[in-house]
Amino acid sequence: MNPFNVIQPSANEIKEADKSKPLPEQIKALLGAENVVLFMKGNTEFPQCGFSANTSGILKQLNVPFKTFNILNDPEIRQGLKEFSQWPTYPQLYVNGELVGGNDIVTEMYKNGELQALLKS
Amino acid sequence: MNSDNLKMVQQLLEEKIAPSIVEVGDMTGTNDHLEILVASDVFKGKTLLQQHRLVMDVLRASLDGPVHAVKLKTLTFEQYQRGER
Repeated sequence: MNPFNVIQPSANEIKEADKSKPLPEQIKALLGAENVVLFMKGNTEFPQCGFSANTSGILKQLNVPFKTFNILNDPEIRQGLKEFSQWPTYPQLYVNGELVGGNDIVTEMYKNGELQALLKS
Repeated sequence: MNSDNLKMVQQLLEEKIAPSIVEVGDMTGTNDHLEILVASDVFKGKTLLQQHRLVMDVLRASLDGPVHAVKLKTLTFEQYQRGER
């Protein structure tokens, strides 16, 4: 564990992946934990990157239930999910198990109303 | 430090996503958090995710290396000419 990582868990955070299972199953379980799952640096209370802060801030404002996973706590998931999604950066937002995009896409969809529509359906 | 990143990213995108308008800026003064605008008609009819994927695929090696983060805006030529930013 990173001794400098003093951030406290947040209520909607998935604490850890099930390490007894192979990586693809860990990822599948994380994606299925909630309809809306955000893989980010830090958590909603203590985001560790401006992009992650912005994306989780948008989700908070929309008042839909969502869970977050802190990829800084799990190098295996951090690398594995990038390969799974073929998407090289974080945050990554998933709705019903499918990648919606990173912070730029989420912000643009929020501004034009597409995100709200997607999360209501 | 990393002063070639902007030029490298610019060249890569111009080469791989043609014809296009590419603007690359430095967000933090460290040349590793880049702001990128790409306008090209290859984006026509594609979802935002598909558009960003096209660009991210070109930048994958850079993002695994010297470039830490990018802020990306993709537009078709028409959108670019209408001044959508």
